Amino acid sequence: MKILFIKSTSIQHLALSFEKVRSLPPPTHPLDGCPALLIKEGRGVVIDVLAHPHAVDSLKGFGFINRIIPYNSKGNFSPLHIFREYIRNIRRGKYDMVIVPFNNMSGSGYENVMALAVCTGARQIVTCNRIGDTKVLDIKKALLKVVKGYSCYPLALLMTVILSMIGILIIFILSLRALAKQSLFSATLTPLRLLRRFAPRNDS
Amino acid sequence: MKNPLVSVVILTWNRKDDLIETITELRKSSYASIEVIVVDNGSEDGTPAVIKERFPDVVFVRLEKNTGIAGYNIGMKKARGDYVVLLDSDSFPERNAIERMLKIFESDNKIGAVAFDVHNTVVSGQWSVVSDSRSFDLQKARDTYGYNGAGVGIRKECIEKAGYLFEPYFLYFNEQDHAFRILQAGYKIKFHPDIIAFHKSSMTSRANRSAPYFYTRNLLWLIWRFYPFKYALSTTLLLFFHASLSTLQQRTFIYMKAIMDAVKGFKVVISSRMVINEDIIKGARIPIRWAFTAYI
Repeated sequence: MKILFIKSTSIQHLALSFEKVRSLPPPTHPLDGCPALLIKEGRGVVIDVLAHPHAVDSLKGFGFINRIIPYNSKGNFSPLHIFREYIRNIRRGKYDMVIVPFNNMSGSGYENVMALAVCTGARQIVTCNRIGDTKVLDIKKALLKVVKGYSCYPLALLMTVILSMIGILIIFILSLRALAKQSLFSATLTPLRLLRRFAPRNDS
Repeated sequence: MKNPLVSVVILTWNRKDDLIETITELRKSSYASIEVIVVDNGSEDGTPAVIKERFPDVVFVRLEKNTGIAGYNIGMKKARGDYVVLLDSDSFPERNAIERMLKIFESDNKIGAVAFDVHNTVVSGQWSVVSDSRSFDLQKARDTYGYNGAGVGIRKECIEKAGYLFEPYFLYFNEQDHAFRILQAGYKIKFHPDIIAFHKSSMTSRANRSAPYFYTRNLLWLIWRFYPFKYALSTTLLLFFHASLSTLQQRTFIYMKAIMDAVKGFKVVISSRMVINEDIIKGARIPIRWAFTAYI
């Protein structure tokens, strides 16, 4: 059985996820016994970890890791970079299970990591949230999660535009409230004064 | 100056047992000239009685309600030491940390703050890292652009010049705000991997909903207070996008409320605007997206 662990959270959480995956019940995987037993006894379980290069040294402390696959992309698991760079390489590994730890409760914001997990072609994807709750997803469910996550992007873009306009409006309304308290001249100047503070005069 | 007084300011709120542990661990410090100031943000778990009884020499300041990080300012103003160490009630320095911190400060009087390497630990009792202070290598210290409030030493003179913590934040991002002002005042912030503080982080404590609110609101304020115009504009739009995305994905209104409150406070924040240079922004590497994926 080949397991790919995607290190999408801290080392501490990775350790927790390892423990949680070890205690998964037997029906989760096609082999006999639970991963804990298999890992302990070294019976046919191979664990690879995909991680940022800065985590490689720390991961070496986990003796049961077979191979650490560092990715070179900057920042997060950007689909544009990591997919192109590694997906073929990872697919070649033919993993039975991919483990995706989340740093939050719901897994929101991890659609890129989930997409990567789906692309590996593994039969099972196990998620582990911040407090160690695990969920076993088949490919269909995992794919649905990815689609749901990405489908919010266009709407979020529209909301950003609306929010920006509302924000500007509120700032002007706040400034115009001065009208009630101050003279018309002063109230007209208030938004200008606020914006002047933002002006790029001392930027360098 | 020989054996300067170090004031340790601990802010607490309903964490009696952690606080007792912190003070007990502080007593084991290799440096003796320490004044401990505990600012209690209106705890209701019996903290005042226990501290007064078990640690009568501790300067205890009781506040009637939770004032957030304003409590640190009260503690810092009470501090008599030349150096102030800020701690959370669930964090404490390694035994040699304060002694080592002083060595860093004494090496250069333009060092305004020494950021401890905060080791987050989940299991209680995982703080046995004790190394010999004589082998301490000053050369390992490097410049940094921020500090973690769970362990930092600040020169008192630097606090007077850079100012105290910006109280409207209440909690979160106040350290980065302060770090920017320390750097802007011409001081350096040093990080040394062998100056360690232990922080008892809980995997479950971040499952609360007030944290994403404060992170989002305060991050906007931080950006508006310090970023040059073009960075402030682009980062604000980016934050709006992530807040919108998280609102939809997590089905919560908390991020929108944070944005609304940030906008409401725009005037207050802008009135104290202080533009920092691009090098500091790049060096600080503030995680914009983190708050949206770390909680709900």
